[in-house]
Amino acid sequence: MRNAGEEGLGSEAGACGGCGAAWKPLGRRGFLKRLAALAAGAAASPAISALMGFARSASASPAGWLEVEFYEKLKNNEILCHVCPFDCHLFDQEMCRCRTRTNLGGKLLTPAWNNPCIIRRDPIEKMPLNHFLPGEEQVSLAVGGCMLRCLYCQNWQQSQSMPQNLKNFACTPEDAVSGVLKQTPEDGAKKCRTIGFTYTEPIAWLEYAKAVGLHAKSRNVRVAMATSMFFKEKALRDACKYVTAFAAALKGWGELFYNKVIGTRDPKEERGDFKAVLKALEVVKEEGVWMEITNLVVPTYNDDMAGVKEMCGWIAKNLGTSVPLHFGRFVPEFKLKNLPRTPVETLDEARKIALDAGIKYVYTSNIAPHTGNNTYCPKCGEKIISRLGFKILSNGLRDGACPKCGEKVPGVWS
Amino acid sequence: MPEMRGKGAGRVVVSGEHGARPGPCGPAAGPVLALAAGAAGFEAQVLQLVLMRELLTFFSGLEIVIGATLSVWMAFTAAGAFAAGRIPARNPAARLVIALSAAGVWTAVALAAIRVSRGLLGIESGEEPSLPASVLLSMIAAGPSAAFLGAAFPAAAALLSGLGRFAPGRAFLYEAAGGAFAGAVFTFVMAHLLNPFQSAFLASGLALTAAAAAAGRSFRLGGAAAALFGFLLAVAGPLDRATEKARWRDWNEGYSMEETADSKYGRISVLRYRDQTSFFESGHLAFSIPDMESGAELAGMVMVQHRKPGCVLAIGGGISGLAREILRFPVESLDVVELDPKLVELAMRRLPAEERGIFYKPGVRMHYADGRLFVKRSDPESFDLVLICLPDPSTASLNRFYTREFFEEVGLALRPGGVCAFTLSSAENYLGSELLLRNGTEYHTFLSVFPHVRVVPGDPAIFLGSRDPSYLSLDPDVLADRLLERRPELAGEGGEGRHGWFSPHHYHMRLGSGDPAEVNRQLRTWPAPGSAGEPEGGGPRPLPSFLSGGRDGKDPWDEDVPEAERTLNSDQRPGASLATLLVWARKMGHPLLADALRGLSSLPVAFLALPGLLLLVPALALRAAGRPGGAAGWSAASAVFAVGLAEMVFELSVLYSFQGYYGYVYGEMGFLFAVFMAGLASGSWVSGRWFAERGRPAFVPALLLCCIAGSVCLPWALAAAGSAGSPAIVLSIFSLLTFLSGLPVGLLFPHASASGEGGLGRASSLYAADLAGGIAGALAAAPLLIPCAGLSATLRVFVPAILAAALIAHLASACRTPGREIQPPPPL
Repeated sequence: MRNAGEEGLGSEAGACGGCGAAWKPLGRRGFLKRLAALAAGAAASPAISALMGFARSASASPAGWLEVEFYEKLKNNEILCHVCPFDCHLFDQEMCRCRTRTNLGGKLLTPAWNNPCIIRRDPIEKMPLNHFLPGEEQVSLAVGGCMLRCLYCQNWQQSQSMPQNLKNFACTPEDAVSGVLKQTPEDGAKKCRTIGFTYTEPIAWLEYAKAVGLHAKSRNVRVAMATSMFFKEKALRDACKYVTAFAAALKGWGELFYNKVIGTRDPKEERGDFKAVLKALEVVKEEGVWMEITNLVVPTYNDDMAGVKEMCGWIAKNLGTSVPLHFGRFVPEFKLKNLPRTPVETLDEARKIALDAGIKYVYTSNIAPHTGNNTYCPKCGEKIISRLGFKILSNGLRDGACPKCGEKVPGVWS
Repeated sequence: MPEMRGKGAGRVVVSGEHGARPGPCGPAAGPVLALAAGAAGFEAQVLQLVLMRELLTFFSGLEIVIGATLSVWMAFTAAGAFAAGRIPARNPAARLVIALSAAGVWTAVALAAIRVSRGLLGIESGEEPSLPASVLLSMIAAGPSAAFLGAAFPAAAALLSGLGRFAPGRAFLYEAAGGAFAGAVFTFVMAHLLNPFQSAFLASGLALTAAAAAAGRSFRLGGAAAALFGFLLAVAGPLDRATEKARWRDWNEGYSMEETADSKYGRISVLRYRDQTSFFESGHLAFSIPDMESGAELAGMVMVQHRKPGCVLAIGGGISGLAREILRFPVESLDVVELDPKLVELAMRRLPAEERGIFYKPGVRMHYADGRLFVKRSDPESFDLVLICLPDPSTASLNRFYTREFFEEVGLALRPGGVCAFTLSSAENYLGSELLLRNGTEYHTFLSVFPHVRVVPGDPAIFLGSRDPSYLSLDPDVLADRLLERRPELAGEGGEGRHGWFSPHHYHMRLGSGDPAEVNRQLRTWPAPGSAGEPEGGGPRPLPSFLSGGRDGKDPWDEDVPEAERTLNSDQRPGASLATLLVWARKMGHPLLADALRGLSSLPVAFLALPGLLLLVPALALRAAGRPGGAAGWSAASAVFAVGLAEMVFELSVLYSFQGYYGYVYGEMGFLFAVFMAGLASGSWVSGRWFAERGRPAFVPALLLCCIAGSVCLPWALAAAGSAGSPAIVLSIFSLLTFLSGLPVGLLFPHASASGEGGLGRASSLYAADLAGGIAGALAAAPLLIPCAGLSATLRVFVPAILAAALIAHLASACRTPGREIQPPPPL
């Protein structure tokens, strides 16, 4: 494979030569990185590892694997995956960058099927979704795998693993949906009528998400999806048929940020990964599915206020001023353990810029208490929903409108 | 693992039989030549310490990374000496001057290179470097310095060539003394007063001055080099400031560096970004201010787990907000223990006056001490609550705060009904196999001392332990009621943060969603089949009970702990540090390393001992081939290898135990290192005296058998030393054991280098063998064997290698050609 496989050289951003792009000439950093990787290869002694039986193969037993919907068969059993913009070009026995889909004899199969590693009940606000059934809970599902390599991933243990290497539940779409329907409020417990795909990237296990989503839709259960929006258009439009709300991440502003921190391809390759995210956001808007945007503010990486201003201007112009925007606080995680938390001053400034850009509902998350946890009426300034983090303290919303001035607040309220 | 710093810093490879001619100053210049050899050892030691400290700020500080870096250092030193030993030295003094100058200059280049290397290696701002990047940088930056210093020693010893075959042993003695002196001077003086460039230039200048004095005809060259380093010393200040700024520009782009200071625990850097000030110690983020959340959440979760926490002890975290938040509760006294006074001083200067003032309130006491030592010295039943807020057990030093022995000491310091709490990095949703191994080990270690344990899930997870069965709780409503009872001002708090960041709602945020009971169950039943994180086997996990509309039955903490084979984390067997290493390897994208380490750790210890017997193969092959000369050479090399191995394992074992009993060892490192080098020097001196009387063919086998006896007896000696009541006695006994650890190589090297043919080449091979033994011992023992198998078993693992070497030595001595008399060396 010339494409991303497991860890190592192939997983570096921009190494997707199989999809048409030749290997780019190595710069100084690239050369040193590869030299380091070469040293790693030697140091890690794969031969010893293999001798001891620890080497893992992507082509484990395909029993229970499912054929992927969005892919193209090429000659000689080669495959072009069309789920995400990486467009992985796979030879036989090779695995996509997401660590799930694998070319087995010219068929693209996925082991991410009926095997979530996380099933739990969460407040819907945790997605974050502040305008979607506030105060209710959801059954959250996650399966291992992800095509991105975010340096700050909080869920790296699942996202940076193949599903079959995790300890999973056996949960069919029917199990998941009927489980939600069994959630009956008792003793003041919260309503739960939503399934949420979160914690890992659902695009990596879209086949399972679709099966659950369609089944949920048929049983009148809502579906929320937290995603990086790293979708190909066709797959996204298909997802819009069963997703009720997107918590859509616009992780930063610009190709360079996406390349350095998120692990997309080098901007020099001109593959338009960042633009693909913007396009996906426009598609959701077009499809009329409820969407809230999240932006984790990572100090020194994407907290330049000129960039924030540009981003907010783009959102206001292309997605509208009514789409809620959440600025999240970074905490040291995964590979960025030595980067301090986002200063509160930065979050305040970003929020002010967004409000000045005309975005009506701007939130601050991952920090509580904070004024930005609450929902305010954009017309009269009334505090409509008071929150502490993702806990609702009071909800004054009346029929989806401000109790004071009657201004309609967009969202899914029932 | 700075405890290995002395290894390879100054070994001498030399022979006066060929290549080197008699010293230029003749026998009368003995003291000057000795001073030059000692100065070479002095410079080598200082440069090694400076570079190691600098590299520590670059990489993550894990045992395996430090071990790998030290191994790189030793390997390059060996290579430098080996290569230089094979080039005839027409003018050893000039060679010495050139080698020492090159080492000094390269070290300065390396210091600057390390500081700007993150950008060059493509490591992003705030990102932890990977193992390959760390090793690569060590090789590029520190390798040449080590090689130059390695090359300096044959030259230094060649100056003593008037001593003939005894020159290596004598030079060994002088450089060991120089190294011992350097260790003490650096730790107690240089690290406090000088920046790294100044230390490097001063040490190089002093060494070159001594070399110049010894150089005779090369005096001008040496004098010029010394003058150059004098000039460099003058510009070292601006150089340090400029490169330090460059480091942080690369590290956290956009942060401005406010201040840098050195303490005996590392280099502290203060960085500012917008309204936030962050403190880094040895390159690692220690804490930031203002930080309203971390301390508040920990205090809020823990202070309501005791009926009436009157006397509270906080180990770590006090200065960054934990003390402030504890004092929002009604407490009688608060003892805050911080290790590094310099870090506290720098933070205090930047805290708001109001927050600074809390440390001067009645009942609040700040202690600058090792937390473990503080607990050990506390009176029994002194505290109601002990809160440990320290980094993960990634090193042996940190692991001491997560062992059963430490929890037992805390248990003694707690009053009836007392609560102990500590934090550990974790995950909110899913514990992977490595994380479950580490946190499961810690859960059961804690449980072995405190029969009632609860874990607040999240990152970090908060572990709560008590001997009182009735009060610990994870029920958010119960905890909120307790909080309001103790802090009535929070009644009606609607999340405005009027009375601090924490409010009763936070219990619902942290404990109200997800399934805290399930996380506790996973840890309690670990490593039961089917528990999360086990990658294979055991079938799928059962669906959560809420999905079927049911409720859990008993709470997990009321269930019996299932029978299973579990290894607890202890001082003698610090398994949690290995598990933390596995978590790190997985996180940094080294799955093969994680799998290999895990595989090796699951092998029987006896299996790991077998490679030692391979030493026998070449010896037997050479004998069978009828090459007694080759067999004798192999005999000497394998003896030096085995003793180098034993010495390193002894030293590590002593230091591991010492820090468990005595406290944080970093501060005493210079002293202990000086004692170790004194052992080396004494051994060398005794060896010289011994030869002055007569040769002893059975010496080597006897010494190796003594090493085996040491391997068997050391665990008992360490345990006995730890049971001594007074810290002064503990220090004395451990100092003696450290001295004895250095003795074998000191005894053997002069003997081995003087008692065979082969000249400089032979001496070079012995030198390489010694370092190879050290490398093998350091890499195998520190990151793997001690955490997996414990100290006693680790010491036994190396016995077959030593036994094999003893057997080879015995066979070689049995067939020694008669007629070769060893002449006594000139007097010392």
